[in-house]
Amino acid sequence: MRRLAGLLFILASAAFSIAALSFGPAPNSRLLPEPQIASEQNLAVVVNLSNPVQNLSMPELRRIFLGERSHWPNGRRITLVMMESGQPERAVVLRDICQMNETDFNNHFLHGVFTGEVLVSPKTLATPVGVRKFVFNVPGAIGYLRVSDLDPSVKAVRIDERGPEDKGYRLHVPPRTSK
Amino acid sequence: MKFSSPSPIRVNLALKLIGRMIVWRIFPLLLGILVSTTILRAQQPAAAAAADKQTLQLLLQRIDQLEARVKQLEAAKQQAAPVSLPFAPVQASAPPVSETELQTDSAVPERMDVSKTLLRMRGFGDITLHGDSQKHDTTAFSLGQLNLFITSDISEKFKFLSEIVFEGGPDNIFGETRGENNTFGVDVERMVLQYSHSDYFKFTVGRYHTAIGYYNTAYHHSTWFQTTTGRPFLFQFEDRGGILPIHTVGASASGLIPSGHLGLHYVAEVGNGRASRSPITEEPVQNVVDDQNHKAFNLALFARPDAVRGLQVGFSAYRDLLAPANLPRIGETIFAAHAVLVRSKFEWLNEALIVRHAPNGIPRVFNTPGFYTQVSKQFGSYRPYFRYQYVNASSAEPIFPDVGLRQGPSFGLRYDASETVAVKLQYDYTTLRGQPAVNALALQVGFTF
Amino acid sequence: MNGQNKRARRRTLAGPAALLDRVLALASPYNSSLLLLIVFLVVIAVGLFVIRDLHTTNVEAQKMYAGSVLGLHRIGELQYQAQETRRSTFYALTTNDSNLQLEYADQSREADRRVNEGISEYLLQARMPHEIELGKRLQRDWSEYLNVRNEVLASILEGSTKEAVNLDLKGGVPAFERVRQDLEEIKRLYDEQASQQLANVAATSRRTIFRLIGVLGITLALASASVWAIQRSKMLGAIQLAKLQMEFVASVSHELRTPLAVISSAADNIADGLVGGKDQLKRYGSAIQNQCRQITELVNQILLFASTKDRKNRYTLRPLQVSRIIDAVLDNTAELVQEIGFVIERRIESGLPCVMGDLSALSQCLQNLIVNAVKYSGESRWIGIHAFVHDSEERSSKEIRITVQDRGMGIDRLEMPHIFEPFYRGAAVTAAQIHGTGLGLSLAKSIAEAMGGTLSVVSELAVGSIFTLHLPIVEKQKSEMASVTSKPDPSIRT
Repeated sequence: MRRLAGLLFILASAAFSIAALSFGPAPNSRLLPEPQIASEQNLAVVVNLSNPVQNLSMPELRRIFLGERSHWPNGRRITLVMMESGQPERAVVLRDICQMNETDFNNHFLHGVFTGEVLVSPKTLATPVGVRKFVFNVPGAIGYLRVSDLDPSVKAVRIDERGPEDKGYRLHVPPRTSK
Repeated sequence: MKFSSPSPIRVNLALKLIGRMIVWRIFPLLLGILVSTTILRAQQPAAAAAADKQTLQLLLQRIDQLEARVKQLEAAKQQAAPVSLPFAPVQASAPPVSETELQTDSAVPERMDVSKTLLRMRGFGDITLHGDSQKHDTTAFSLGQLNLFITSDISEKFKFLSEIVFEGGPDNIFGETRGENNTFGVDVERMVLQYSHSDYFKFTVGRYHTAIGYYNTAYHHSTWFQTTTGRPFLFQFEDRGGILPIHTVGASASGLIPSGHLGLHYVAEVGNGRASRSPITEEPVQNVVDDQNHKAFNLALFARPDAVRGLQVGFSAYRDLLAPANLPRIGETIFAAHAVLVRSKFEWLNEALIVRHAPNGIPRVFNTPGFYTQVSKQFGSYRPYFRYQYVNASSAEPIFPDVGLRQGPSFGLRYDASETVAVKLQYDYTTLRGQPAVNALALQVGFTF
Repeated sequence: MNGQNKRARRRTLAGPAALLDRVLALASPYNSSLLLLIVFLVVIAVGLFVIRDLHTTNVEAQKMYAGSVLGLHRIGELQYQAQETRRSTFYALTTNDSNLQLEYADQSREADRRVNEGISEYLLQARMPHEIELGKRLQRDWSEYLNVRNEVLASILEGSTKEAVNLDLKGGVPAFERVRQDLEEIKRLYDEQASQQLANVAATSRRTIFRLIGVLGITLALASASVWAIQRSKMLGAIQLAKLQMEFVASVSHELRTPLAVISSAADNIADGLVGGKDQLKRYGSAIQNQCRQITELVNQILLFASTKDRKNRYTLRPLQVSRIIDAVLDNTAELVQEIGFVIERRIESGLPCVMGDLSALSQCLQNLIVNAVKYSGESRWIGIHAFVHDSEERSSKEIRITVQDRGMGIDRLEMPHIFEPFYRGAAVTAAQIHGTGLGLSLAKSIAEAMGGTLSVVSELAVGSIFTLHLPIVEKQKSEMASVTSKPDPSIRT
């Protein structure tokens, strides 16, 4: 048993050392908010106007965007709205909130549906206008929009007590490329 | 594979061998992995940045192409007549309808077309080339389980889920082999109706994976989801020689426990439990009839703290009363604990459990401990992994006397050839009580469709 | 004293009666014009009536169009947009693509926005309590349906299609049915209003037609009566004139016959040698002279009347002293007055200004007045001539008034308007067989008007008459010129 324990200890050390590399700041994760580049915009997380939620912590936001939360506190089902793959807004969400790439995100939801933990896969919309209209129409919807795409039909929630217009807001999206 | 009771000498020899292997083979390997990981990590940002840029450019070009195509399709769709739509679309500039039309509109029953369902189906499968050093075993291609995963959103609160598995080969139930080698059978491995009231209460009825430990509820009948080619010993399916009640037919309640950043969850289950008769001649999972009134209960608690992303630690306790033939009733208690760290690029799974069988009227309690640890890390499309597993059942174990001691490492490499196809190469070294160690190698292609 | 009282009473009684006589005298020449004016006013009134009725009908028709036709159109649009709201919601069920579902959701919301606008418009124009109540009920029911529709859309977008359909079946169908019934009721209301307004318009038109027929009929009758009256008046006038002319001819003939008979008789006697001596010859000669003078006067009067009417007379106007005019008249009529034994009372105020006139014409005018006074004095043998300055009733300045007053038979009030008409002779005069041509007063009035003045009369039966010649006063310079050749101021002579 002692040998067994020793063996386990060695294995654990090795695994920890590998994990330590992963624990370290991943190339794309941030512990502290980086100074915003002047050309970047803030990415607001938006919900329906009837949603009572005003603030979400980043872990809560992550759980929602990974489908680990299925209902809002008022009992309404959460409907996650994502933009199509390739959109810079989606890339920011995957990178900064979910901390996954596209494949991992898709596999996560597939796995979640497979295990029964995730009830509904996210809806995918083509344009920010579509996201805004969807969130406006569906009381339980949550999505994301550039600050410039916001309008009074949807509500932007605060993340870690910071709104999109506040300093230190954590979600930034590069400017749109003109075609 | 058969299990036999190991002797103490053999155990010591095995431990020494393992120690040497660790020192001379595994440690350098781990060191090499450590160094290469560091190097790769240093390269990754720059490479990843360049790859991201290129990917972005490609994706943007692809978007342009797709948008143009969508426009073409929409234009074609507008010109084409609608086919089998429940309500034919009317142009926006149509004149106001007459009264009779209005009456007709309101008189037509406005129902959904019942021929359309919300059923979604996903398939999983695998094909394996395997060979080992055990006597009488041959190297062969094997068709793995063909898994049809079916879901249907019945309503906002209710959801249906099922796994229908076509699997070949004989069943191995507690050492008893039944069935032909190369024939396929169909099993409804899972069939649940899920009711989701809120995050704090979900109710499931049907046949499902018992919430013992972590692996059983995280991985089901698809090898494509799993990092390794197969499940750990402990969580092997009942018809593949597994010792745990992997499946239960019953009811389960689960949900969040308000605990702030701790992220506590609970699972409470009651079900038919496993069939008690030994030797097993029937289906070990009691799908239709329970052979006794006593039900199996399971309670699990686990936490997903916000502080450590991807961490889950938990504990479960399972209780059942078995009534094997020609034996006194046996109280079965299974305690399991797990601590797992699962992230997109890294996983580290650790589980340990003990199965206690306490026959009525006999003071002796038969404890079967077991554990495994599994670690893997993603490097691009490659994910090397390592697993070590252990289970030690007494030879006098009343329910599964054939398990014995079984332990050993597994090394493997998973390569994601595409988003839906994974190729795995795995080497297993398994020591058995009273038997020569078995070396096995498997090459598996797992896929989803 | 009695004479003064009588004169005072005559003046009092003559005031209102004189005014009425004056109005009637003024109106009588304009009878035809008055009738024509009345007809014209009636036609104007009829026209205004017709215009008012037509305007009312037009307004009713426009109201009917705005209220009912446009209202029915509005309801039709509401029904269509309400159906469109529902249809677009169902289209979202036909696809699983969230982007398309959103498009249909947008279409549904756009249609419901138009329905809300239509309902607001209806409530704005609703006036009756029943309409307002119906409009509010429609608004309420539509709002209830939209709540269900929003939930249905949310369920469709969430992917809960079955639930969306159940929700619509359970809540949407009955709610929409209520909306449909409300719209039908509004449509029925518009139909009723349209029918009512149509009936009003028809009634107004019928009323207008009846009024038009009635009033045109009355107008026609009035116009016919006016024309008949005018024609009759002209005919009577012509008859009267002819009668007067016949009377004039008869009178002139009679006037001529008597002197001619005397002349003829005297001439016969002279021709037959029945004259005894020179004295008898002188008497015959004197008789022939007198009768010739009368005939000459008569002919002169007739010729003067004719020349006045033909406007051939050219008067030589110059400033004249009033006393000179009166003296000339008295000289001309002295023999006649003395012969009959009349007393002429002459009163001329001192310092009278001059008047512009023709001496012979003015003398003729006053002479006619005096001759009339003599003829119609009856038993009285008094004539008064008075000249004085008085305020003019027509002008703002002063005027010279020369009155010739008698205490004779007077003139009947009914005959007053006619006495200045040529050839007119009153019934009493004719009955009293007093000779005359009926031209004297007409001539005098013409002369007075030619001088820039007027001739007026105040008379009372059995009391007497006062004829007043109103002459304007001449300008100061002419007056000064006249004063150089004027005679000394006269004194009262009897």
